[in-house]
Amino acid sequence: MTRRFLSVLALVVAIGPAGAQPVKPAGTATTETARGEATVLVPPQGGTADVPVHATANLLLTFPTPIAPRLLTSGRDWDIKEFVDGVAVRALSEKAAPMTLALATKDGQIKVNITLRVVPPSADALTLVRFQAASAEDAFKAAVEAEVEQRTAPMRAELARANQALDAKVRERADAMVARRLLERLEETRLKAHERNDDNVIVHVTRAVFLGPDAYLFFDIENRSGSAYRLAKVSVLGPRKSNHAGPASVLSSAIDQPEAGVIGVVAAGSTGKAVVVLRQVDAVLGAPLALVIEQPEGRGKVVVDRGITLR
Amino acid sequence: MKLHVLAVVVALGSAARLARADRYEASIHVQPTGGLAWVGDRGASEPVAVPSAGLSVRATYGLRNWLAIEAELGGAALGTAEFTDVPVTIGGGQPAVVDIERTTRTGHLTAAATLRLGVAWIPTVTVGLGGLARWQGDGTVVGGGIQVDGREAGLSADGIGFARVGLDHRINRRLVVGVGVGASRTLRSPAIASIEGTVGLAYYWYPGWW
Repeated sequence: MTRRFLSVLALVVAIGPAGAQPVKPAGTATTETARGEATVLVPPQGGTADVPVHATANLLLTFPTPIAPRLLTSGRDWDIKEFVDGVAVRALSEKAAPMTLALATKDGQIKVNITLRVVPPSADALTLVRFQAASAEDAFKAAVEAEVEQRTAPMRAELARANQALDAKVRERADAMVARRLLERLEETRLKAHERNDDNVIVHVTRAVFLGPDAYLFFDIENRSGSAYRLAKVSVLGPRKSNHAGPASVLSSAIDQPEAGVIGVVAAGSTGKAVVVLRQVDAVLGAPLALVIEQPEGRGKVVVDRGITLR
Repeated sequence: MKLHVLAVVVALGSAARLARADRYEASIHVQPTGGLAWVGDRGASEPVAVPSAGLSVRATYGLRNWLAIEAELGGAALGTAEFTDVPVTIGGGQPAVVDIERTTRTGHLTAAATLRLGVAWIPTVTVGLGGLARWQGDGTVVGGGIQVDGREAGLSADGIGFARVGLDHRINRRLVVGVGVGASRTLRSPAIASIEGTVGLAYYWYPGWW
C-alpha cells in the first residue's frame, strides 16, 4: 500500500522548475523509505512536491544543507517553524486550505515548491519528507522507475489475482480428478520386496495402491549407512527396461532440505517413506517390475528387481 | 558377579537398540571349525581332550534388524581318544583294567537364535539347541588293537546345547565373512564337550518367500 501510495505521489509531485510547462518526468521523484516517510530527489533546476498531511500531525521537511531564511507561504491555516536545515509544519485544522511553501537551500542546490494539503485520516499521509539534490539524470531515472512502478502495479496485481485463481483452479481440477479416479478404481496390494546396496541402504517395497488408471508404489528407504541418502531419481522398469515411473515423493525426518535435482533426503540411521506414481499401470500388469532408486550422478543405486508384480 | 551380569545384559540391550541389521534377509554360511573336544566313555575316570575339525553349513533369517533365527547342519571328526585304566572284558573273559582307544565322528542339526548387533561390523551372540549323532569306532586296547567287549562301533543320538559369540563383517550387499568361538555340550552321559573356533563365509539375500 505504501509503495502504491508513493508511486501515486511520484506522479502527484510536479516536475520541473516552478512556472514552467510540465516536462517529462525528469525532475522531482520520490523513493520509499518507511511508512509515513519519503525521500524526494530534486533536480538542479528545482522541483515541486505535493505532500499529504493528516490534520494536527507534524510534518518535518528536511534538507541536506541549511535553508535560506525567508520562506514564501500562501496560507494562514498552517503553523510553520523553521530550523537550520528543515521546516516543521502542522495544519491547524482539518479544514486547512492547501498551502504552497517555496524554499531553497542557501547553497542553491535545492529549490522546491511544496504543496501541503490535509487528507482524511483514512488516507495515507507523510510525517517526514527528505529533500535531496540529485542530478537531472538521477531524478529522471527515479521518476521513470516510479512511473513504471505505478503503471505496472495494476498489471502485477492482476497477475497475482490470476495466479491465485489459477492455483485454485488447479486444486479444484486435481480434487475432481482424484474423486473420479477413486470411483473408477481404488485397490491396494501388499508387497514384500527388499533389496540393499553395498552402502547398507535398504529399500522395502511395501504396497501398491491402484487409483484409476494409475498406481502408486510405496516403499521405505532404510538408511543404515553413515551418511544421508539424497534421493535424486526413481525408476520403475518394465520387462523391456522401459521406465514407467512418474513423479516421486519422499517423507523423512531429515533436517536437510533437498537441493535442486534431489527429491528428498533420508538422514543416516533413519527410514524415509517414499512413493512413486506408475502411470497407465494396465500396461505393466502381470509383468515383473524393478524399482531403481539412486542418488545424484547414479551413486548409491538400489535395484529391487524381485517381488514387484502388480495384478 | 550379579553386577557383571547386569552390565552385560544392559550392554547387549543397548547394542540391540542401536543395531540396524538384516530384517527379512536370509543367509547361507559355510564355516570350517576346529578346536578341542572332551570325550568321555563308560568306565573312563575322566573325559579325554582330543582335537576336532569339522565343517558346518548354517542358514539364517532375520526376524528383526537385531534378531535372526538359524539352523545349522554340520559334522566333525574328533581325534582318537585314549582312556586309561578302563575296566573291560575281552572276549567274554575275566575283567581287566586296560587302556583303550576309540575314534568319534559327530554330526549335528541345531536351531538357534542370534543377536546381531551391528551393520557393517556385526558382533553376534548365538545360543541354540539340537540333536547330535555320534558315531564311535570300536573300542580297542591301546597298542594291541584288540577289541574290548561292549564297545563295538555304533551310532547313537544325543541332544546338544551350544553358545557362540562372533564378529561378522559385511563386505558388500551379498557377502559377509566372520569369525567366532563357541562351546557346546551333549546332554547325555558320557558327554562330549567342545570349544571350537570358526571362520565363515556367508551369502546374504532377500528371499522371495516369507
